[in-house]
Amino acid sequence: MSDPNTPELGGALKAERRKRRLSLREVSYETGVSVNTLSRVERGYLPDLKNYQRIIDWLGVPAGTFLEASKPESPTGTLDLVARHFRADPGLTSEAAEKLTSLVQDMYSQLVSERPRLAAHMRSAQTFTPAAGALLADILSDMQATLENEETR
Amino acid sequence: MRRGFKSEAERLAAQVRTEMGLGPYKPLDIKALVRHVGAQLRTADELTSLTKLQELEALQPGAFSACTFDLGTRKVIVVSPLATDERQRSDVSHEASHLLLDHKVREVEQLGGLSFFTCDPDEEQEANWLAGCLLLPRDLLVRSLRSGLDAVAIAEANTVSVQMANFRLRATGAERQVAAARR
Repeated sequence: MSDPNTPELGGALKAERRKRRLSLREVSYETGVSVNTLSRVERGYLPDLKNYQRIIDWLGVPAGTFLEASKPESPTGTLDLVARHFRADPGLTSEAAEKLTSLVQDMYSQLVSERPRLAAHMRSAQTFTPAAGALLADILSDMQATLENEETR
Repeated sequence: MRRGFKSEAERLAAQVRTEMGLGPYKPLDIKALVRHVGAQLRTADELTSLTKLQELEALQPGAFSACTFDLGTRKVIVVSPLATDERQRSDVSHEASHLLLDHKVREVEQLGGLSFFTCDPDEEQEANWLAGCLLLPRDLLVRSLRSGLDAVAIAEANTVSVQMANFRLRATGAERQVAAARR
């Protein structure tokens, strides 16, 4: 889900292009990004990483400008949740809760596997709307997980 | 596309077809091609929900056609069930071509709430070209034209789109060759 506070690449590109009074073709010449891709980016589509970097470089802004701040994910989340449950359990002394938390942390770190990186060849569009891009990433992730589960069966 | 690739691709496609026992004239057996490149073929709805695929198609038509996963122990080509037979055959040939050309899979980068799908435009062009050679070899096109078939009939006989047949007829020079011989 995109953060409404995160500035949009397309809007920034269009504004800068107008400020410099350049056509899409001229920006294409300066960036090496095709006119078609630039036009789609201005309409809210997301390009691939290489073209994203080229546009960012042309705009002269830091690379993270259009990205949401990254949020920590599990396993921290899972362990925090378990620790909170142990601390809140009236049947456990605070020492017992800490001991259990520590035990679970040890076991968790031994058993948790790094989330596999999502990798594939794709025959697909070259640019995506943020919503379509997010859904496609989710679909690819589903497919890879199903295939990996078949491996372990 | 690098210089000389187009001719290399025609030769590679001819070699693959010979190894598959098809020769230059038979329609490409897509499942046999996938086996030949050492991969498995699945439709996307076997691995994710059809509803998600339909939702993606509604959000952005054509956003996803096919992909290949390299799981280390096996390679799997996944094709969208929402496409026509012709499109699926083209998409699977394209993916098999990536494997024949030893193109490496690329990671999807998820940064700051956005997903970036990297692709190498040169590799995509090469896979497109080789897929065309596999589906419609030049010899097949020349023989079909000589026997009186047009692009529509060639497309139908080989389960490819008319657009693909027209593209290959022009790109290979088959159309010019046969027309010149008739003059």
